[in-house]
Amino acid sequence: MTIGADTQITDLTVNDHACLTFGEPEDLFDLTAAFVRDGLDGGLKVMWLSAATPDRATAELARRGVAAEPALASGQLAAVGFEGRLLAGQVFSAGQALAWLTREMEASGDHGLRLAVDMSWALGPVTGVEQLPEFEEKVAAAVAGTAVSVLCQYDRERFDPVTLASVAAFHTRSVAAATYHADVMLRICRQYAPPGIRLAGELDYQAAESLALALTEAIRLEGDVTVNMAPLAFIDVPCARMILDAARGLNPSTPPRRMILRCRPSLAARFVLLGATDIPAVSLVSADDH
Amino acid sequence: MTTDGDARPAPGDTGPAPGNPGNQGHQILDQAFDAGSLYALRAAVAAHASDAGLPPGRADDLVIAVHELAANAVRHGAGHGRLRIRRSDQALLCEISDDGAPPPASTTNETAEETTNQTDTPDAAQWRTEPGHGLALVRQVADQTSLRSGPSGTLATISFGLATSGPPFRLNHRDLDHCTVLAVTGPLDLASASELSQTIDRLLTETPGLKLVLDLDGLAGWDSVGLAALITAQQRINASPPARMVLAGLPDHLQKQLRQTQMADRFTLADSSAAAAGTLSSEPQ
Repeated sequence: MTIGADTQITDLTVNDHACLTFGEPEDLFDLTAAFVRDGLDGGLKVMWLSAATPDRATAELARRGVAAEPALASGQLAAVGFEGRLLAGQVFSAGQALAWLTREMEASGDHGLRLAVDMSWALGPVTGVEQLPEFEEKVAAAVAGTAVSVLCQYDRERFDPVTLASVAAFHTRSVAAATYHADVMLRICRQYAPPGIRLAGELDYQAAESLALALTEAIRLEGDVTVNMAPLAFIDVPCARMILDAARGLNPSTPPRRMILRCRPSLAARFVLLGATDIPAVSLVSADDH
Repeated sequence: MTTDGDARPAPGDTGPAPGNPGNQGHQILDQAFDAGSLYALRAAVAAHASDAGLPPGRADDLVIAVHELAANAVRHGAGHGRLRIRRSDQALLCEISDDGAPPPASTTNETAEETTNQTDTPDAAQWRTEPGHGLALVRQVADQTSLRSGPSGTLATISFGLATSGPPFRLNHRDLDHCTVLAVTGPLDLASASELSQTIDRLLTETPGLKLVLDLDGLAGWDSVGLAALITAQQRINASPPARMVLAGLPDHLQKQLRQTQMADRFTLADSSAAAAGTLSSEPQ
């Protein structure tokens, strides 16, 4: 069993105790970047607890367009590990973890706090991990009626269904990447930071309907649209044309909207031969350029 | 029947033109396909391209060309077809046959092409569609393309020349009549195109009003990444007036290919570096 997703990451507000499930690291970083970005834009203090080193976490956020460095320097953003917060060595205590959370909530004062917690620590050999549901229940009670939102991040491939089901009830919302197509050959999903869509695998005309839906939803949002094809090994002409047609259709608004096509050099060449660089809205970016 | 494109030299090839119909080699693949097996078809083509020694960029070009022709057979023919690949010393020759009904007479004697987006999503339905892009791309990337439609179906044949030893990629600068001549030797492809792009970017930065002769007399093979590099180089030049660029000494097959695929209009062409420099020098600043 997996938790059904009913909310977009960009729709979260204060008070939410949300459960994010993800299937691959790219999803985790993407959704977290959107959560962090929106929190910083809203003037909230933002904290991300994860297994990644602070440098890696910061780099992943920056790569997705989050102004992480100045926020870190000002103290508005913190990217930290679990030790001394959720864990003491390899020991977890729901009570102590909640005490830490309470201190952070008090320290944030009226500014509000956005807290993203990668729950991968609970997959290790940790004493007291059976207190996880109790912790989630206490978090739900603690954030109710406050200016604090908490995003708990669960890897749906690594957490067992029983654990996911046991913690689901304590969350006010469930969040996952909007997915338009997913099979062994191809995945088309929404990308949240920077906004757009992500294509992975091999894409041909047989998935054109899914691509059209994804593009349609992406261009309905404001701002630039990124079509991230870095993990895409093949695209055929009808699908490439559909993407370019969508770019041509971006309204000539002020400021002008761009469609950023990020892909491998051989796919970039295909887009050039199909006229991509003749379309003012299109920016071709090599997937090698991080 | 339509036939276009003479065989072009493979990267490094200085011998006879590859893909000579008189030298059709031995069959290395005979595979049926339908909509559900296009992925397997692409995988098989990629494996044989690699095995035959096609450079990675050319292998990608072969895969997209075969896919587009096979997809046409699936979508506009009987819904299934057959790919046969023959390999000679000089080329891979791919035949994509469709046993189904031929396209309507209104599509002339070429294979039918996609005419609509495969969706009824309202926003997508408004997007502009232009038939023929799949086939146009095939013609841009294949050395030789022929299409034949008749009562028994459509037969598409494409050939890709195989690489033989030749000079490595190299760029040489020299000045000629107040112009910068950038001479390309060897293959312009996935492995080398970025060096050309970076060099032209640097020249544009260093030399306001750059008059560039891109001498392609020593060009020995190219792929779609190389073609795209020529297009984007011209676009960078166009975006930096009064900079100008003339392509000189194009191999005959490249010149013909550019003309047949409507890419030639993007460029100013000259027979030689001296003629190109003359063109640039005679223009007002």
